Amino acid sequence: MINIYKKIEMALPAIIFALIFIVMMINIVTRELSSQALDWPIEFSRYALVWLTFLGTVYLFRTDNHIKVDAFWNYLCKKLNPKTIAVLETLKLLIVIFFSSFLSYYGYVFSERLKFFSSPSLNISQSYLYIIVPVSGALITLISLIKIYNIFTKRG
Amino acid sequence: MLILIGMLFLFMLLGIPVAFSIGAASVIYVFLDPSLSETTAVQRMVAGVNSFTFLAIPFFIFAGNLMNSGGITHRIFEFAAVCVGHIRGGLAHVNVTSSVIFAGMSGAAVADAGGLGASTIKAMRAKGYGERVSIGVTAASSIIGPIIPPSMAIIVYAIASSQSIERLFAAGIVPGFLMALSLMVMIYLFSERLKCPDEKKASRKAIWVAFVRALPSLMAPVIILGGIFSGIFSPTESAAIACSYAIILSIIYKDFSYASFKASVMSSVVTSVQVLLIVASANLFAWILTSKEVPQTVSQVILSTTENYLLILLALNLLLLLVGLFMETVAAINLLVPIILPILTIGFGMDPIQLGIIVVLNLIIGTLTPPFGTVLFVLSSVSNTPVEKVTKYTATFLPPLLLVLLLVNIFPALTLWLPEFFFGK
Repeated sequence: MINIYKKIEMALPAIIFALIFIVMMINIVTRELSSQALDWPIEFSRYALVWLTFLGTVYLFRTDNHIKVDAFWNYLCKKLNPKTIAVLETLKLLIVIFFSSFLSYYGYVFSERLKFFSSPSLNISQSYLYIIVPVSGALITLISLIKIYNIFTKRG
Repeated sequence: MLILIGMLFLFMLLGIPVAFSIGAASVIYVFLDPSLSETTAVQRMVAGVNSFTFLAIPFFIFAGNLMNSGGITHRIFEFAAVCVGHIRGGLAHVNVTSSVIFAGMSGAAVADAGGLGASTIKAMRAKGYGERVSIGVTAASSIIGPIIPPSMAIIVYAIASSQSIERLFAAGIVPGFLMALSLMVMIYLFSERLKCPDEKKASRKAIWVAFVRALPSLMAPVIILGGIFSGIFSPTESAAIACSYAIILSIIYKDFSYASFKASVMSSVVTSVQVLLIVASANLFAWILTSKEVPQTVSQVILSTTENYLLILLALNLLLLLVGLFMETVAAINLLVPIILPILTIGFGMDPIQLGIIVVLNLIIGTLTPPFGTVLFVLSSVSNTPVEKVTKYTATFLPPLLLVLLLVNIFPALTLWLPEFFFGK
């Protein structure tokens, strides 16, 4: 179950990335051949980029791939005892949870509000664009909780 | 406002991912300030990446990765070797020259350092070059990548300052070549102390053979930059075309494999998302700054303190270098530009194009210095050398780069002449 989730979480951003690439090439080729520009590829690519960003964020967060400044933190880890570090580590994750639950709650409120606004060329509801924000926020919250759980079970 | 900035730095120091630090600090501020709406905050984040122009970033990253894995980079290195390899300093010149060519098709310093850099270091070590010159020159020349177009950092600046990407791209060309030139002069003068063995001059025939082998690779910058500057393709489209071209070339070169293609896609996704999420949260932060009229306040304070242009210029560069030490480039551009742009352009009449190159150059030099030296980390891992040593070797080659920075500050023509030549006033 968890393995399937991990596979999907990794594959989805890659698939979106590939899709944007293909759609963009279709757009260029059709424009050069028929001298008529399509308008849906640009809108599709923009929406997909938003999805890529927020879905990819979940994968990067779980695998600890986000850019961070760890020089000072590594220094702290050498100086402080393991218990304090575990507390600080939890505190860091709580700050992340604060941010991710903000995204999930207000992201949901915002996408609900846009339910009846549709996009100009694809003609789909704008809430599909924003719904990825609460989804990603909820997943990050969940992963952070699991990370906190791991800190306490490992160091007892 | 100081609370906001204080929290931001505290979170970053604790090692919370940069994007989350910016986001969490901003959200706390939004909660504290009743005039800012929570749902608008979400909307600002999404708006930050809901942009067709930003699509250029993932694709230029992808193009760089594809060229590294598809044997294109290697051919460029071979070609540079027969052209400049015999000059006193040998492969060190080759290192710089191939970085310049690679810069014409890749948008990030880490792609240069991690792909091309890895193979140049290997070649230089095999021929008995000193570690200092092998690693130091690779690091220093890799930051030519973000100055010569295409460039990820310049795209980010262009969007943050609403300037034309094409003009900014053109503005980076002269400074980029100056960086290469100044590094090569330094290598030439100190080649003995840097322990560079002498190399034989390649025969005309060898040069021709290498040229023909490398020609399709050399066409990549021509296609990308030609497409952008002639106006046939938008920067985003030319990035996508660069990817297709790299895929086709690697199939022709028989270097294409599904496994390495998949690895390129995955690593491009990771790098792109890192950047894009920072852009999203920085957009939220910038929205708070502008709603609270921070840029206006700061510029009033500064303009009332001094009207001396040179002093302001000095302060600007020191600020940028300092921020570049501690902060990721994309985040720094997004957080600083809303504040410094009005001060320098409206207050002192500086051209926003020149300012762009100054900003990017300063911040990119910061990627060569600890504690936040992304290029150093990449080189340390590809060369199996501790970060401290890589830092020391790299520091040797910082003076020529700082000299170019100085020139770009003093002479606006270095950045403004080419864009005016291409696109008019």
